[in-house]
Amino acid sequence: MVKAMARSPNPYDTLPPRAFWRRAVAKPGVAGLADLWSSPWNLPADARFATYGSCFAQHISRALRARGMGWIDAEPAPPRTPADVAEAFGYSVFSARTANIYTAAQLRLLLDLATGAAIDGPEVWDDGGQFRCSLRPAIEPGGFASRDEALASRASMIRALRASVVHADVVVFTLGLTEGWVSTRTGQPYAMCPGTLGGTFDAGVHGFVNYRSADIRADLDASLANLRALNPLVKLLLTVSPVPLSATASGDHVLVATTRSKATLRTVAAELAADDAGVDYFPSYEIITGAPARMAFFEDNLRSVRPEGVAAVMGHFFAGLRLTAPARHGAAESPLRAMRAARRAMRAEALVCEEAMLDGEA
Amino acid sequence: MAKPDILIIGDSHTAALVAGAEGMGLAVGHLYLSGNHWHAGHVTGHALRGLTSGRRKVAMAINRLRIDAGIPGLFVPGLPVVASFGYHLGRMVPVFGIAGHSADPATGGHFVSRGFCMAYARALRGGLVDALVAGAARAPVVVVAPPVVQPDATAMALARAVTAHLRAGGVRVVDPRDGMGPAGSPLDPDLRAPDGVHGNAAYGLAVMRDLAAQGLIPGRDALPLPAE
Repeated sequence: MVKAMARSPNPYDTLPPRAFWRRAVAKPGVAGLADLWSSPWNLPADARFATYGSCFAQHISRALRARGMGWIDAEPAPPRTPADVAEAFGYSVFSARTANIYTAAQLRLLLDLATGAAIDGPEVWDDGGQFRCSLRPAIEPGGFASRDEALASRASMIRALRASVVHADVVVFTLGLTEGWVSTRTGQPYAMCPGTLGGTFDAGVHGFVNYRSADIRADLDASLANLRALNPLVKLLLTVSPVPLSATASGDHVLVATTRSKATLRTVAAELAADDAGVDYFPSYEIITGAPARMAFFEDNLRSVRPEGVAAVMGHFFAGLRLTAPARHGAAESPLRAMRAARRAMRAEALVCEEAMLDGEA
Repeated sequence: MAKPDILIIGDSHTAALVAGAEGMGLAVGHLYLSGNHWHAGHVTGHALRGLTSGRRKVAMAINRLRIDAGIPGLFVPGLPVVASFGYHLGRMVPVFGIAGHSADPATGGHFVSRGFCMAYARALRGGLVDALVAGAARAPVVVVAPPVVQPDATAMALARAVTAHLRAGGVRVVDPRDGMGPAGSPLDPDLRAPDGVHGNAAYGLAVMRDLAAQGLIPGRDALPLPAE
């Protein structure tokens, strides 16, 4: 018979139930998970959110919009644009027509442009008369008619990105990937590997990079500085996309590469949130991929997130929000409400996920 | 009605065209429907009748022309159709720009590309474009795009988008925007109707003479010259 070990008072004695796996996870199961996240910020009742990031961030945009919350659509489609046309041109997917932002390096580049870097710095690709913006090569289904048009559209997007940050209480950014491609000449990060959605791949110019945690931290620190340059009061809420990599160029098995990527992003997000009171982490990654869900939140391709998973994520998100401070936007909110009402009239659209193009899925 | 030499079908811009055609001595079968009907989708293509409508009065107007002209449909071989529908810019452009969208990057608003204007025009005017394409496959159809009344890059881009869709479908289009710069050159004041946004009879006559010169409608060779 094993003799019970003597216990002396210790820090675990006073921890709440949420600190213990058996009581907080195993026993309640996925449906009973509670107290998973609580916003550290006392946000105004009419808080405004700007959303950017990888594919999964689109769910957050849509959920905020559907709830009639203060989701900023700083670059809406013209009135009467049918939903399928708006979606095809990247309207109302994020708070500006950035398209998916998969890496912290991309975010940094976009915010550099929003805070004064030259708009015509990043490349525009001439694909045989169809011009593609290297920052968002699929934003125009048929490409732009000219380089000038691509740059005009980019400038418009950057103005909207800037406006969304200026007017936001919270910027929600979903980290997607550590893997990316850069110009070995200029260092410019690309939204996608040249040759996949635009441009022509040149091994002598286009280099693969698997960003390390220090790189990502530096890019997020710079991004945060840019955000605060635009809006000193803005908060940054980080999430990590639970969507696995569609493909890896790392040489590793894609499952291994996915784990490496997500673990790195998750770690950087946690450390930045711990270091800066204006940054927080929301655990969408854990809700979808954690053991309680038993992978049930994934579609059969083990990549796309099922609507039930999205609902679970957003349920925790809204449960943890603290919109308890007095409203502060007042009458200026009304145009946003009008825009939201117009957007609600649009039917739910399919997610736009360029990265899936790597596997010919989308 | 005497058997018409041509049909003129469209919105308020048909007034000048009818005046011009009649000034040339042509017998005109005329279908005028407010731009509201065209814009709102009240008029659709029809395989036999050419056009139709679920609105009783609109359908009656379409049928009246067809019956008066003694034709089974509005688009029949040998009867030229001059159409001024499919654009209706006065109803499309102001709404398009109400939230600051513009095809002119200098405005600092939400810039819209040519590709987006094409998609937008297709979405809002595709039914009318398809009706004209189907009609042009059966009858000699020429579309006269509305005149440029003010230099506006967005109006220009949307009009050009409609024109491009029509031409892609094989429809002949006379568009004053051809060869113009991004914002276009407004219609000469001498050619404007008193409301300032439509062409007048002189404009209509110039257009119809141009169509006749191109052989798109009966012209000087077949008809007596109008009194100048």
